[in-house]
Amino acid sequence: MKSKKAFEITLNNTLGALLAIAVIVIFFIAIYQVYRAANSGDKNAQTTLDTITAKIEALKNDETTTIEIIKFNSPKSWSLISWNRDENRPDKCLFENCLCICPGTSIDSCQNEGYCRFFEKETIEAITIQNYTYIDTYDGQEVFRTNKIIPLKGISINSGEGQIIKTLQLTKKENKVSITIEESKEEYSNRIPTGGL
Amino acid sequence: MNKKGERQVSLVLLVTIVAVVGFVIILYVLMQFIKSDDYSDESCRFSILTRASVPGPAEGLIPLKCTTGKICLVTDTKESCPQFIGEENTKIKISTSGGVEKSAEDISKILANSMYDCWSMTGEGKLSLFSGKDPTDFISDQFGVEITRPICLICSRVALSQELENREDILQEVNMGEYLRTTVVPGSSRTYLNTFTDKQVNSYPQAFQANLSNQSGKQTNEIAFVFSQMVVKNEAAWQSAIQKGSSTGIAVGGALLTPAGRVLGIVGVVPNLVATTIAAGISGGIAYVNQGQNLALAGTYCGAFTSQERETGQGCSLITPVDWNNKTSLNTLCAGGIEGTL
Repeated sequence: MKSKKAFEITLNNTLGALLAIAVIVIFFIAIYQVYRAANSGDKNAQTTLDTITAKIEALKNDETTTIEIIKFNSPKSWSLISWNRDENRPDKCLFENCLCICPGTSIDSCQNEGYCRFFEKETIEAITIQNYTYIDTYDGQEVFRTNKIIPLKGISINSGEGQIIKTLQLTKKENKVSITIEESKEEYSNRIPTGGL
Repeated sequence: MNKKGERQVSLVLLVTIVAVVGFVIILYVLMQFIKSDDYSDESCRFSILTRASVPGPAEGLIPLKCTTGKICLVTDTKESCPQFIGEENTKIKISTSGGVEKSAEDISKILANSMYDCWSMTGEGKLSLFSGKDPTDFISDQFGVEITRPICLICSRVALSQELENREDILQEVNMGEYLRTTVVPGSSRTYLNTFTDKQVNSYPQAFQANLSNQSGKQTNEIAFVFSQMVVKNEAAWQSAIQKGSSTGIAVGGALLTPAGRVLGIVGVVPNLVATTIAAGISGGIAYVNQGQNLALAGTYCGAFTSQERETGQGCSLITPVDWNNKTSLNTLCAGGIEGTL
């Protein structure tokens, strides 16, 4: 009888202990998942910036290459922005030219929440080339049409419905690196022309 | 309940809890293992098998540790592929000393092997890799809308050096479709076509051959071999989704074949022929995939996904070459997203 009672106590205790462990483990996994989800956008943004930086560093003068960017899920709208020594820029760029990925296009957003990589020799230009046909009308009649090209400072990384993958073109000439992407007018989303910042 | 009954209930509970805790710990250990920075083929294969073995909701916990392989075809080792600057890539020299036909066959061989590797790596399309639910799926389900956006894994990219790109005499002779039909997979007794179709097909349907003489293909200097999978709840849903094609990115046209003389095969649309492959379904097949205005050869599997111990939903998997320069096609084919590292 005694051993039977001991068995019951052991069983109940073990059950309770295991239940507690299970709850704790599941609790920590849940916390970890929430943490991971909250930070995955920032991590993906940094990975994207590092990939682009590696390409730039491998690029020689007069070479052109491409890089594909996969859209990632993030509550923030990340943009690739270049800041050179001759312009008003985030303090974190110090005395170097820098390429940043920021959850916005302003100096403040890069300074406070962005991630930057520095370039000593190269000047960097990250722009979106918006190309569309401009049609002028007079009295309802089409009088002329012209292709307008508007360079916009910065490149949107994870916006654009249906754009799972984007191709950026990287060109290096006389230590000036141009990172460009072409967009149609429909893809335009609150971007600021170069000189507008 | 008497004491004996209570003890039995307690024992069942104990076993259940031990099983759950054990599973969680094993899953955690696997996650840690997979999270290492190893992106080799073996690591990729392991992560695919692991993901396919866990229940749907847990799939999201298992990252696919796959990196797109990059192959640069050159005629001389001094050449390179500009798109791979700064990225690890494998150069393969296409010898031009054996004649144009031999060079073309070498290119076909590399393309066929890339397609086979992708097919093999992803469990011949039979493993469910993307059935884990995300918030958008959840919302869609509330409205009774079936999710049909395919998700992709880019297995490999095969690019041509500038010099090889200019060798039109060689490229004109490349015929991947014919190579797949006639060549035996290394280490096997079956042809690529036979292997992709689960022994069902030894030659391309006659209706398809007619398109070969009327081909209007496009050339590209880079091909990606893409695994694309669409997961749905039931057979009717995926058949409906496939037939709609244009909205899902997976419009399958009957048999297949790449036109002679093109690196990436693209032939006229044959939208209805698929039905025979698909309706017979639940098996491997081969088909065309709609890529914008073009079609390309694809190894397909449509039906119930399986793991070693369970069924894991239904859907369609494709392994197909895609013109890497045509991002519109990629964005459609992979409308649900791309996993893995480029």
